[in-house]
Amino acid sequence: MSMVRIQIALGILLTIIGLLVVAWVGVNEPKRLEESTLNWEARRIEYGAELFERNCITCHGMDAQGVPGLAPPLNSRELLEQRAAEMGWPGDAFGYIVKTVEGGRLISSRPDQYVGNMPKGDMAMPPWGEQFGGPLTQFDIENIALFLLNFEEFTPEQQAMIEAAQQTETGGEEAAGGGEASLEERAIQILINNGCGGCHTMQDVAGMAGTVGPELTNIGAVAANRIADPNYTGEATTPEEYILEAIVNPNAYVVEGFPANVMPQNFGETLSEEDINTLVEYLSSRK
Amino acid sequence: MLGLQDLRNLPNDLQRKLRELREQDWEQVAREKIDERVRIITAGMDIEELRAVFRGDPPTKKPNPRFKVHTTSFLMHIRPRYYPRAATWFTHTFRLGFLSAYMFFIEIVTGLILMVYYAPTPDTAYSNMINILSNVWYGELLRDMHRLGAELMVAVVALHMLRVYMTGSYKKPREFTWLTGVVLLGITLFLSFSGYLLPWDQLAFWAVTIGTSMADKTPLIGKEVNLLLRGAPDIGAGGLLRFYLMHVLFLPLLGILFTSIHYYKVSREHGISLPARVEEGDMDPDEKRWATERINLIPDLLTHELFLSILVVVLMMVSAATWYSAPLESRAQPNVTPLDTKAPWYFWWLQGMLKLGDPTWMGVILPGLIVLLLAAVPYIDNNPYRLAKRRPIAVAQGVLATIAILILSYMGLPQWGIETPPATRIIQDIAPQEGVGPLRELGYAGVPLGTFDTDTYQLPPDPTEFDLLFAEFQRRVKEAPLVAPYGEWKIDLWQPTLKRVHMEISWTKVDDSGNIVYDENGNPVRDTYTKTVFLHQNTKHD
Repeated sequence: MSMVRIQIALGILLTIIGLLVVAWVGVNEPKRLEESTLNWEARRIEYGAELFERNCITCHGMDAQGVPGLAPPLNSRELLEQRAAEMGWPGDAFGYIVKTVEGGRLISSRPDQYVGNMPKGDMAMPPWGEQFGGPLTQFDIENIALFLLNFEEFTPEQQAMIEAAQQTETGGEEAAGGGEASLEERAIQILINNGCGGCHTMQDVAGMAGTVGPELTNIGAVAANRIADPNYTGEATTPEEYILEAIVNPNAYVVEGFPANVMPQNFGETLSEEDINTLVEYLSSRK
Repeated sequence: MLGLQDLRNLPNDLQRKLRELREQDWEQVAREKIDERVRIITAGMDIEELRAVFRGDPPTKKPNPRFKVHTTSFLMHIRPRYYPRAATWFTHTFRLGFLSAYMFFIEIVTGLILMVYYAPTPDTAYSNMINILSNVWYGELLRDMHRLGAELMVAVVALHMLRVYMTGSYKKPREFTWLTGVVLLGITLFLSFSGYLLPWDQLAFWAVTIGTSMADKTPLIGKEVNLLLRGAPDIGAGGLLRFYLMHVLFLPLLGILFTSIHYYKVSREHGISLPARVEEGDMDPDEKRWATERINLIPDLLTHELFLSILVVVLMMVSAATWYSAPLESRAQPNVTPLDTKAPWYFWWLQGMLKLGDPTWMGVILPGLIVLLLAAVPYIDNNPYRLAKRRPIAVAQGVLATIAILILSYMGLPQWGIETPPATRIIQDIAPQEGVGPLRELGYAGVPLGTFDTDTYQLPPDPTEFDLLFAEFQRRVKEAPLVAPYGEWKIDLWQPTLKRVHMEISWTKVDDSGNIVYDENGNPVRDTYTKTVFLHQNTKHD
């Protein structure tokens, strides 16, 4: 009989404990909800970054810094907000980005600066939303927009941290013997960093898959043929000269079937002489 | 003098007078009113009786007023008035049947609340999960409890079956009860599995894709069965709606129906089986008399059940509020197959069987035969005895089957029998596609900026968590069965609150016979595996 009383007593005790647990969880709920909201927004930004890396860098650049002539930079919240306002978008920048990614751009809104895929006869930017035949869901696109709007200004401390990291990086490589980074590695880094992959293809190089400009897989051999072509309008006499000319003065000769004025005219100024030499040496070796 | 009329009126007057007097006795009136209410609430017991119950005293009147509850109350009329003492021994039943039903009840209550915040479409389902977690008071607790309850229910139901088998309780006259029990096991598994898809995350999507692809292997009608389940060749809006309706409507109704039949058989027809040693053992008559004495449901067993209910729900609540967290992976991506795909644990044995041979045989026909065999157990086993020593073969078979299930489950783990390329494995262990892993555990604040490579890296004298992790990576890359392996991490700050960790492992390519592959210039060809992980400042992994 006493079992009944023990169990009643324990049951009452447990009920009180249970109510205390509910109260304790309840007291912590506002904080937990706030943290959870931040956490899920952060996770969506992480996922947006992943999607951006998977889908967008070929045209908008490795770091979303844009590719001159091809696609605009996206790496600033301020810039994106300003752009939404310039385009007369009535809502916020988030909606503007979502709508643009979803439906793409039929024609470039700044054809003098960024042509996108128009030279190929395609839309300037393809539609990415699944309702228009793209690969991304509404959720994915929202994540990308959240990620892009997370491009805020670095604080001075962060700027210093980034510079310090870059310095040890180059210092470290020299200490490791300098020979570590081969010509190929250095050249590919330059190609990727400057967005060349957005327009040009090199079949064995990841990140070089564009079709707006001519293929560069065997450019060393191709260059010799181009010079020999009676339609050639440039001044180069060797494949090396041809490649140099194509980088610093691309309109000297435009390969048939590709539009003029698409390749940025100012690589002679934006690239260092060392980088240009590296590119010429590497590209002419590709036969 | 009093006339005849007065005499006739006297009893009525007296009664009126007495009533008036009594109405002035407030204590008496209050007591009666309370008594009446108590009788209504307890469906038959007055306050005196209720007090006796709480004091643990015997019934105050005869016939036992506590039995009246069983006739007055609908819910209590389903319950038996008493059990023989031995049938209530904890070590006989472990309360597993009661707990199965109780878990079902908890699932219904938590599930009903969760339904308020959920719409079964691919566009909304996953966002609803995030909303439940970050916008609904007690949302996480409820979700955790629903998930925990589901896992416990499967475990408890399976153990219940094992217990009934081991004590031989399925034998005549309880064959049909066993049969309904097998159906209930199936309903429980499908309830749990159908709920798996609803969060619409990678875990859900791929577990259910694999599960339904087994239906595809059904002989003759595989395509049709698969189509019926998925609503389309692949799981999408149609499949989600079908699983949702199965989960919240069809299977619960079926569960309630079969639980009713099952429980009716137990409570009204055959009762809980006595322990075999009481029923057929050579027990001392006095002891046997004691063991078969009646224990009344009210109050002894009812208090025990209430106590157990509170205990279990408090334990579940504490678990959900502290260590247990229902998983939620990234949103379902039909074109990204996760690396380590895993069925829910209660189907690992099936995954293990699938690794043994042809999916039609191992995934459909053989499991189907196992279920049939299970249902037929009481009809096949014609040994009338229940004591373990009188049915050694049956007991041995039960033990062997349990061991076989455990071994098959182990074989079903993704780690068993599936080779992952070494570089993929190393990076998957450090930063898994889904889940946390040590790198995300370090998080934004735990990783420094810069480039680290396995050739030049040296562990500093006072290493941070990050240093230890990279040293582990370095060790594993160097020890990997690869020719000239090299690993590198490049960590940069992409946004003020977002770090990008680019990981790469490269190695010299060899052909099938182990010879190094050279390109046309005579340089060895290098293969690489890369993965980029993003770490945001506010991400929290629990």
